[in-house]
Amino acid sequence: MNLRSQLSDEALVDRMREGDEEAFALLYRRRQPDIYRFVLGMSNSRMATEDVTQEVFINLIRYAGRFDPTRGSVRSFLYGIARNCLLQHFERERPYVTYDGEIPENGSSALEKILQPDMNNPLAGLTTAELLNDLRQAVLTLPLKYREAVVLCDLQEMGYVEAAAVMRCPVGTVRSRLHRGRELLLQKLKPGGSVNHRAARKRACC
Amino acid sequence: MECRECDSIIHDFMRADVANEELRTKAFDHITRCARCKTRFSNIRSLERALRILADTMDSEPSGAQLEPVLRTIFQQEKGLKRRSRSFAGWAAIGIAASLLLSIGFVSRYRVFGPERKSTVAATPQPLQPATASKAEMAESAAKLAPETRKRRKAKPRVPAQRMDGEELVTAFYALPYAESSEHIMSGEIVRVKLRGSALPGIGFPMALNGDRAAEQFTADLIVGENGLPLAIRFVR
Repeated sequence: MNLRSQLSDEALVDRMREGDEEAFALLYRRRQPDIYRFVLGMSNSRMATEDVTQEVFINLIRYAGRFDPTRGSVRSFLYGIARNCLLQHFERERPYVTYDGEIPENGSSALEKILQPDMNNPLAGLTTAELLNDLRQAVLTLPLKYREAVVLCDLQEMGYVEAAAVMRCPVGTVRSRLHRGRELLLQKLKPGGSVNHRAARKRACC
Repeated sequence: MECRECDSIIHDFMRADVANEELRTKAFDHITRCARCKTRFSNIRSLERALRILADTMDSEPSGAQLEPVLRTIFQQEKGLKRRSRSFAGWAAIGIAASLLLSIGFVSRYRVFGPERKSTVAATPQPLQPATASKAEMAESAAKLAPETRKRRKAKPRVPAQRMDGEELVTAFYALPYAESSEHIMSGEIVRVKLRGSALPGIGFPMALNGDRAAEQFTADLIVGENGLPLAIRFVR
């Protein structure tokens, strides 16, 4: 087993600063999936996600010297860079997230459909995938500050303290933003909510 | 527990890092009794589970194109650039240090040797005209010098006093009758004294004294010869 693979993220960053390319490659392999998923959860485009992920690691190469272990982990540092890159990306692109998903609806909420798929139905998997897509779209329609709280705490399963370090705000703010984000998601997903309403309207048009 | 209190923790009390066991028990007690909070809790739990499924789905998705080769190239370029800029920074630092040393050297040389600063003692002493010169001779020489002096004054206004430091004004040195020559004056020592106007004629300074002037106290620098006699005087304010 390679000795480097046993090193902590912090030790890898130290080695990276000294010009150890393998240490960087290892850190990239270790952290790239998390960063990719975080960016994908926040944005709606795979292409943009790949661009931003690449930007994050280019920034790591350039600014590894700014990493201060007393202020947080390498993971938080990377998420912080990713967040900044995303904000810059949104500023550049000014995206308008639209929802075009269709939800098979028979009075129950989209959420319940996700949670209680009909296992006898051969299309159940497809339906669940579609409904998950609806949930993902609903997340993407959240205002940015609530979206990042939901993505970090619920999708990335990050603790409040770490999320606060990434979002550069107090823990209480993370908590309140997460709660507000979840409430908005519930409103969007319940029957008559914006997600279901749009899907119903689309069906009516067809 | 009230609904209001339950609302404030309903998203959190299942999190081990936020709520303790006691709070969790209280919240559960309330939820089992309150239909509204039960529905809300159920919805939130459903959402949490749905988000977890979404997170798992995203985890199983490919995490984009492998950019490692591209990033490795960028890493090599950046490190090479840093090494080059570090060596450039080293040379720049040496250059700056050398120029600093040179400028310090110039400044200290300027301070030690100065820009041919004229000594006030050496340059200013003007022995008084001998008292033996006749008035006619003096008038003639003054007439000769007058146009030249006027020209000089127009060209460069005369500074009557010289500021020695932030506060002190001094006149030029006036030679006193005890001085035999300018070399004699230069051999003396400067002494700062305070003396009354009435004492000035006594050391040979020609001054018409009226009542006020005689009582006025002057600060002056005297150049005193080896024999203790005053050779020149300048006034300080």
